[in-house]
Amino acid sequence: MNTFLASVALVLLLGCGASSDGQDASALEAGPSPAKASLARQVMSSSMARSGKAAALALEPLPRSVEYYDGELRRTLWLSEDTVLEMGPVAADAAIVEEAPESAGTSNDLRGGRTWKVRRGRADAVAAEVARRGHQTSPALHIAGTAEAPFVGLPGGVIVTVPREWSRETVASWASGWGRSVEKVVHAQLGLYLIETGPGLESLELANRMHESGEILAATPNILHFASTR
Amino acid sequence: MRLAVSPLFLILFLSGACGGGGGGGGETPPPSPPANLVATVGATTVELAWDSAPGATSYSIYYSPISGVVRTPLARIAQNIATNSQQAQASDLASFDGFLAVTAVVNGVETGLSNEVPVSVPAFSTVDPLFSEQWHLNNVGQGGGLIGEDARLLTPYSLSRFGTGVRIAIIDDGLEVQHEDLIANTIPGLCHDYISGTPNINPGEHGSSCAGVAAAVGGNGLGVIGAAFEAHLVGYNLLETDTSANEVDAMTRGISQISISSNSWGPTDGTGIPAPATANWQAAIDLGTSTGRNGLGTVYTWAAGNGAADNGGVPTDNSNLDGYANYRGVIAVGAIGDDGRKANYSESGANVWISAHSMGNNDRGITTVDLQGASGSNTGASPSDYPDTNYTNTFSGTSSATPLVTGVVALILEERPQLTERDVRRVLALSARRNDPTDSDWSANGAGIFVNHKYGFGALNASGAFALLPGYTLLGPQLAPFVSVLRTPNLPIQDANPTYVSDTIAVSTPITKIEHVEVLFSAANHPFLGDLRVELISPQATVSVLSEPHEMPNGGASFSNWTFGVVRCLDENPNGTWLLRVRDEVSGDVGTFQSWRLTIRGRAQ
Repeated sequence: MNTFLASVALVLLLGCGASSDGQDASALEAGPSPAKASLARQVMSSSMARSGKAAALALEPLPRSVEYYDGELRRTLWLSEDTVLEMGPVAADAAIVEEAPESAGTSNDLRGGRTWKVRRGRADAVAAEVARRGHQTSPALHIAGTAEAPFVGLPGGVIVTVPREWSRETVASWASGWGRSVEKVVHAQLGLYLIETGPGLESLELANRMHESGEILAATPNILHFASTR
Repeated sequence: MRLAVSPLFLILFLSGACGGGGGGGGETPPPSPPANLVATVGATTVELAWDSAPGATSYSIYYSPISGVVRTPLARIAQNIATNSQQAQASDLASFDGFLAVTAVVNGVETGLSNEVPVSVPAFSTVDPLFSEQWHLNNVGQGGGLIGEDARLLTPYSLSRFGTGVRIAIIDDGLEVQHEDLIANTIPGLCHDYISGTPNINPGEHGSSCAGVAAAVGGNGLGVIGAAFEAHLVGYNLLETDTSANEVDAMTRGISQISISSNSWGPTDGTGIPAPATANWQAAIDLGTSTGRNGLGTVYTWAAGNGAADNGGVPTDNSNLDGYANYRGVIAVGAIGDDGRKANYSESGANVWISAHSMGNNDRGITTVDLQGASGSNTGASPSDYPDTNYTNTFSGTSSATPLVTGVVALILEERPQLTERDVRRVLALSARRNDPTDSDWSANGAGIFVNHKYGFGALNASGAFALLPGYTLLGPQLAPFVSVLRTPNLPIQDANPTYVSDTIAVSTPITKIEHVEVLFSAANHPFLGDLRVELISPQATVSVLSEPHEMPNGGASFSNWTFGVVRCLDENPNGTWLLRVRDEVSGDVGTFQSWRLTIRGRAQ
């Protein structure tokens, strides 16, 4: 071990000869004056942002939205008109999208599910068709009001926050009053439990009702995020 | 075709293989396991011996770098062994420091594990072959890079600090547990697969590369070294099914023993649309920073984001529009290249804490682990990548910068394990190096600490941190936060007008040293937030740009109860008048500066 470490340290030592650690006190002496640089940035940003904005404004707004509670805040999501999320095991029956063959496609965004891209305005109909064939769906819900904005899904479940002294049995008893059961303990120390629901707007609507009931500290729909690696 | 596991596996497999036995995952009640496992480490060999199990047709060997070997497929390093002893060359087990146990297969059923035995084999006496390519660890000008533009690891390595035993969680798309250059540092039984609910995590390409940057095994004569090459790794593949419930789990799983949670992921970059984290995720982070690591606080490193497309100076995304990277409990990490300058893609923000090296604007990437064989980034088809396809020289992004910080934090925690999470972030800030020193955004805040929207407090500097540690005094407790009333100025924002509209909040609090500031802001009736410049000015005159005019290629959006994070006022005294000012710099839309609220966290001394 020591020989290896000595080797690494030696290589580092040899490689670091031309540099110094610590902050350089003369750092701000060179370069354009901050005021001029700021002015230049401002002018440039204004003209460039205008051209980008024109393209952004050309995107048609989505007409339908829903709201839900997230802690103390109320958030809005916009319903997609051309994307449907199929949750759970992927159907082998790809003919579901035959209704819209010219625009239909799938992606692999989901493990254990998939995204259907359909003709604009057909999302509800395709979702109904997928559901009729026994598969679970969620609408795609955009975080801003255009079809190009990132979207999330509703895989099912309501995350409730209960007083930390509540036992699982207490939570189960409370949930049964809503005709529901506890799917799993999300985090007991945080008082977080997942209450079972099917996927889709059912979970959001139930979360809102539970939150507004005042019986518990908070309720929010379980959300499927489409995070990216960076 | 190569055998896709470690040299440990290779030796045991080649010398012990036989035809019998299936091994792995028997579900019926097993017969008695082998007993009296003994390991003997000699000068050149490691010998394992155990009592034969009656009726056994073959044996398997399992490992873990910590006590508590688990019989899970990813922990199995050899199987189909015919006899009750094995011998391997010690040099082929270089850097292995952990525990082994064996099982037997009897009537086609695998037994439980034998007693486990500790095995410790020193490292090779040669530097791993691709170390010389890892300019982010030791920049000697490889390919034209600026000498010394690296993580400055000389001091910790010369003090024999390698992150030994410090546990890192890689939250990502998976982890190749049996990668030859990760296996000796990875705890397979503590990994988690969110699809199956078991430790059998998939070999994620991105997560494996991140793990390699943080803690690839050093001294095994293979591939690369991680910044903390003796740290322990666990992997949680949250990104395979990233639900709100799973996010809470991933941030808190095993948290009492997780020193650093390394997160090279986040909402979609490049949209310029605010993307919130959930309140439950925030609660999980709060729990981790307050109770993780046995009460000292888990350190969450977070990629600042790659969405700052360089459109002639107009940014697209700002890290402060990411509700994960701008949260108070995480260390947001930006990316700089081998010239010390911001990578074009790396997002600026008043929330960015530190910067670390990654692929910059000359496209020289980071050398790290890649999926074994032809999978992953290096498929063998690119002549500019390595012939050994278990590694790649193309890793990039704030994704790569983040585990570099993670690795250095592991070194720091090995040296001073009693540091709290707050201490760690402070040490990183105070030791950071002022890279790209002529950049015009550098300025000293009211406490005299230099800070930059592009770089945070500067470039990661491990040697600088170690220089600080001997005299470093632990922080006193954080006081109750100052939370202002919700101010509702409702001031009209004129379209494309250089005049700011502003509002003030007078702060009076026992806090005298700021650690973090939050601004809850609404201009919900302005439909295109990409027009707006929003700036916070502290009583010490530190200006923090919270949002600036930017492209929104995916369409407009509004600020509706958006929380900005501000780290730039570190150590300032918050008492006095704070000002928030807003203006619209692009024609076409108007709105109202509706409301804001200020929250300040810090301590008395």
